[in-house]
Amino acid sequence: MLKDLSDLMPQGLVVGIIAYGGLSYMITGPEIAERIARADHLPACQANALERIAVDGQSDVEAILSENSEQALKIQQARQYLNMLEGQQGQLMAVLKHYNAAPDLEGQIRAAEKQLEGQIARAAAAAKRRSERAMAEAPGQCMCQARAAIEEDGRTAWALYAASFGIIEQSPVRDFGALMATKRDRCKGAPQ
Amino acid sequence: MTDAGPSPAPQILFRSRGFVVSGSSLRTPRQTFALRNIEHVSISQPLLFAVGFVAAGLFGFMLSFFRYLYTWEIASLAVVLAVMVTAALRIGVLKVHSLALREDDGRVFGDIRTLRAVKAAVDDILSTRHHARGPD
Repeated sequence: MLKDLSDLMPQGLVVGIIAYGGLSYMITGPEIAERIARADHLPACQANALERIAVDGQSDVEAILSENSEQALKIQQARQYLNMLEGQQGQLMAVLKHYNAAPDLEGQIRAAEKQLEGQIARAAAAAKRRSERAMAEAPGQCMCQARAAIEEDGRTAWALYAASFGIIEQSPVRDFGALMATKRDRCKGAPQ
Repeated sequence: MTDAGPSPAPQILFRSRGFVVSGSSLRTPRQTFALRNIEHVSISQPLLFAVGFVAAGLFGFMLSFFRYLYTWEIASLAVVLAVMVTAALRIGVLKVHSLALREDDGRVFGDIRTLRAVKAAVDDILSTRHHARGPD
């Protein structure tokens, strides 16, 4: 084949073209792809990731409140009942309290409130830890998405892009951001 | 009885960097050729196209993507390209054409300016020999 090409052009030129193509495929293409991804696509990817984390965090808070709403309602009803009881049977309650014969409804309600607050605080702390972990993983995940988009779908396209000085822009290069987004699920939890 | 005396030393037409061209031989750093067996010599620059193409490509790459490259990378690449182009321009091959030699036997690498001078000296001798024989 080299000999056939040599009939068309000088052999040195054929060797030069092959060497330049190899350099573009092995070194300059992947390297410039990663640098373009880092400079032009990673900030947007990380901003999207942080936005998703914020939405997830909001959902977590809503879920915690929703899970504990029944208990909170019961406590509220108990407090209303206690207030009503003290309002209507105030003297009776005072006498019973004086002889330590009244049930400690106030204490029970406070204990229930404290337990509920503890549950909410623990769930909120867990949600916060999840958010922090996701924020810490965001750069690594975005880089993993970029590398997967380069290596799996765009190696040749990036080599051509680098070799042609950015003139030939095939779809894996043109739509790199969208291609990166398709790799999100498989890069979850990727180390930095 | 006459004394012929020692034979006269051959006239040296060119001597530099291991190459010696005399009236009867061409001596290179590795081989010596008898000029009577040589039809002609030619020179070429084998790296010119290959290295030139790669260097031009890398130069274009450097200009197109300079904003993604570190300064030290641009500087290093510029130095490497300069070395590559200089080497490609200076390295040459002198090929000795002779029926007595196989294809690869008569190739000598060297500085293109030296090889050009060697070729000029050999051409002079071959031309003189041709004229001495007269037209065929």
